[in-house]
Amino acid sequence: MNTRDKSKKFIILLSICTVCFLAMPAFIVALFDPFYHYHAPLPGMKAVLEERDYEVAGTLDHFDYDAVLLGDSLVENTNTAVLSEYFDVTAVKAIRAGGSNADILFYLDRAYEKHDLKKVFYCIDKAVLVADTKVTFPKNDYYYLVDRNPINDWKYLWNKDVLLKKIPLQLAYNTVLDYNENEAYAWYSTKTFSKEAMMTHYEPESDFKEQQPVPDTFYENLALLKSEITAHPETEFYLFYPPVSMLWWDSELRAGNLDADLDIIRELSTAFEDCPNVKLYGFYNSDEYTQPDNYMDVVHFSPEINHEMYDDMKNDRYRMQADTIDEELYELREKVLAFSSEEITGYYPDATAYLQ
Amino acid sequence: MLFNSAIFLFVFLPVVLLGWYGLNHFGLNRTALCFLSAASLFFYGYFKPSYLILILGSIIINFALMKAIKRFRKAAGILLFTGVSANIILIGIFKYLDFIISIANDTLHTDRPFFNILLPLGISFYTLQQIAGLTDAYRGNAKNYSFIEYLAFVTFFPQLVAGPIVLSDELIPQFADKNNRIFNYEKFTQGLSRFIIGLSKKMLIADLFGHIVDFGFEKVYWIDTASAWIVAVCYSIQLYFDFSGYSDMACGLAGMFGFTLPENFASPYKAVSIDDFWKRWHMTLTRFFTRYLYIPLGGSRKGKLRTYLNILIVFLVSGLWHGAAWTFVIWGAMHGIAMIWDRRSFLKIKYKWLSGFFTRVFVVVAFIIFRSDNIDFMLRMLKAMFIYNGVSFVPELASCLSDLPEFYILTRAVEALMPGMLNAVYLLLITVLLAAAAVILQGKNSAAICTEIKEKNYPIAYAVYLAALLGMVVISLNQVSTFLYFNF
Repeated sequence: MNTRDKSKKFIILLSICTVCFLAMPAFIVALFDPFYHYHAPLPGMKAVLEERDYEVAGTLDHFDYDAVLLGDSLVENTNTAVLSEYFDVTAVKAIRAGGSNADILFYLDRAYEKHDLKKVFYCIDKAVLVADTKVTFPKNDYYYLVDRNPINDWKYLWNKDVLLKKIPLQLAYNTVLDYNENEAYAWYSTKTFSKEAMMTHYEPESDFKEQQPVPDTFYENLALLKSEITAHPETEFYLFYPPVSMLWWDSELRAGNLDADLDIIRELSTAFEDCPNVKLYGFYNSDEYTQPDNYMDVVHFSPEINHEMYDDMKNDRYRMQADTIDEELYELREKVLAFSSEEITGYYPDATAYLQ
Repeated sequence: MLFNSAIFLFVFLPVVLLGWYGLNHFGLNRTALCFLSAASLFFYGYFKPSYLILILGSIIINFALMKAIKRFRKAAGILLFTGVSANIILIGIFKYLDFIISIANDTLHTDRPFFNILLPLGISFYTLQQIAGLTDAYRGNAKNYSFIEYLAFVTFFPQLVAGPIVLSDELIPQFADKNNRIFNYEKFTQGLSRFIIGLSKKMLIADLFGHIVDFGFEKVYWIDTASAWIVAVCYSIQLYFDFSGYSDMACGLAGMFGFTLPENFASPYKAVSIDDFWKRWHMTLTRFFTRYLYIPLGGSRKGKLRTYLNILIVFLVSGLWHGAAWTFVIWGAMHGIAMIWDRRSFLKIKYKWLSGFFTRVFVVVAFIIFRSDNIDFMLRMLKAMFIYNGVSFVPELASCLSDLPEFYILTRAVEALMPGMLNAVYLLLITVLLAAAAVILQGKNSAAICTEIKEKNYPIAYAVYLAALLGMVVISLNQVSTFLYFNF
């Protein structure tokens, strides 16, 4: 054999070996599929869900469920077994970091593609409702896990992080480490919930800005949400405005957002009157829920609060009523003003400059 | 477009190879050259399309000046001066304007705003190439090339962004050679092997050491003596594998197209003196400065003192060429002084291994200056290296390896099962990595490995090794990083 033939044979061999070396990791990734892009967990394996942005789309496509919990970080600590127990459903979480109604509804559409949903639980906090109304996924570097384009799946199949980090971790959680499947994406175990912890995340501005109107994005998001709800009359929607700490209300007052926040709640109270499949709850004005020791910062509360809310919803407490909303919001406004002018010294005793 | 990106490996390269050999197969040689130039411009414009205006403008003006120099011999000197000045002004505006403003602000206590111009990729490389072309035309060494040949030469994508700095007489005649237009299995195999080795050097070795270096420089305020030396050694390893990896890829890609590019590295860390080091490190840059700066300055023909001055000028310019910052000037000056030291034969060391050791130490220290973002960082690193302040930071430095997927399973397992042993494992890991790098550096370089593949008649084992390396590279593509010499 001359050198030409030998080099030709070398190239052929190199190509065959390369294909084999590339087939191995792709096979392993497709088999274990730690982001559930191709299938649900293998029989006998737990669903290990730790990285929401990478895993939610796959979860919605391939898991078995009849209810979805939608929202941002405020509902991540939910134990879905509680939802199952209270509402007799099998629920999965569809969480969008930072919150964006458009992205969350994108997830909801995705869920409807392959599932009939009995119930949808949607935590509609302010961040979600005033976010930009465009779907942001295409801008993300993990979009290959969200879209359905098989060509860009190579980024998943041949990925060192997936192969050497995610799959071993998935196996470890299925063998030697503890993992509760119902606590997907939960972060509470590494946080402290107390008044002191909350205060480390907030320092009041000394000046009070002029109150601003409700942003237009709220009305656009509301329209998007309503059209989604009316398109699915067979599903029961549990929409809930979550509790926030008094320090959050204080921050909103100082930032000039309080009046807009109250107007948003007022709008919400009537927005779904013509939607019989919507149950609307509001936990924003409850002394029980605004206790400072429930929070790790001004908005993020402990998992106990999540579960109490579901208990209240199950028992139809804290339902938002259009006929009493003005009175309720007046009371809340007075409470916030009183807090910012007096009670805040209970948090920051030396800070007289912070008083209104 | 990066060589270590999927779009390049799986789309651009196969398409351009097919186009080049396909067009040549049908005898469309000129069209093939146009296709290669267009593909190279696409490769370049993929980074930022507006860069194309700059490079095309530069090529057109330089080509016109070369033609004019050849035609109007009486005005050749003025035309050369104009051309070289224009090239220096171009690079000056894009690379040095803000540096000049900062010097003016510091000296005159003014507060002139910076332009913050983004450095066009490869400008330092293609500007030198074109200055060489003008000078060769002036000296009567340049042949009468067509515009398409010249365009294909300057824009030839394997060498466009970070070298090697190829001269027109090296590459253009190869475009015209009919033998290079027919697919040659041997050349292709050699090129492919070289490309895979280069890609692996960059992605599997340089990026790994780069992780330690970046972590160390982020913690420059806390770093201790032992850690500073580890970071310095890691950076010298990273820089070599990064830049020589890129040069290997360039040579390999050219080989896949049937062309030969000049070598840029010859095991520089085996050098026994600084003079020797510069004959092995970035050889095409050394060649450029020797031919087009050192010799025109008088070289070594005008007495010792003038020779030393010329050496110092060359290295100061070399430092500035690498970047617009005082740290690069200091780095260049250090190497210039070390070259003079070598020439003067001060304290001649009898043993080669010892002089080799001191050469490496010098290079490592100088590279820390090269890597420092500013004088403050440089002083902090040098202080940590030379004024002893302990070793306690080493485990924290080594712990950065736990972020890497390669060591994730090991470090998480130790953390869970033997948490008390975690620091020991980190230290062991960093020791093993440095030892492995030392072994690789002392072994054969990539050019020698490719020669060995050919001499041993393309053994099966090498095909398997290379395929394994390619497999590892592909699974690392999602952690794409740019090449260090893109910044220069």
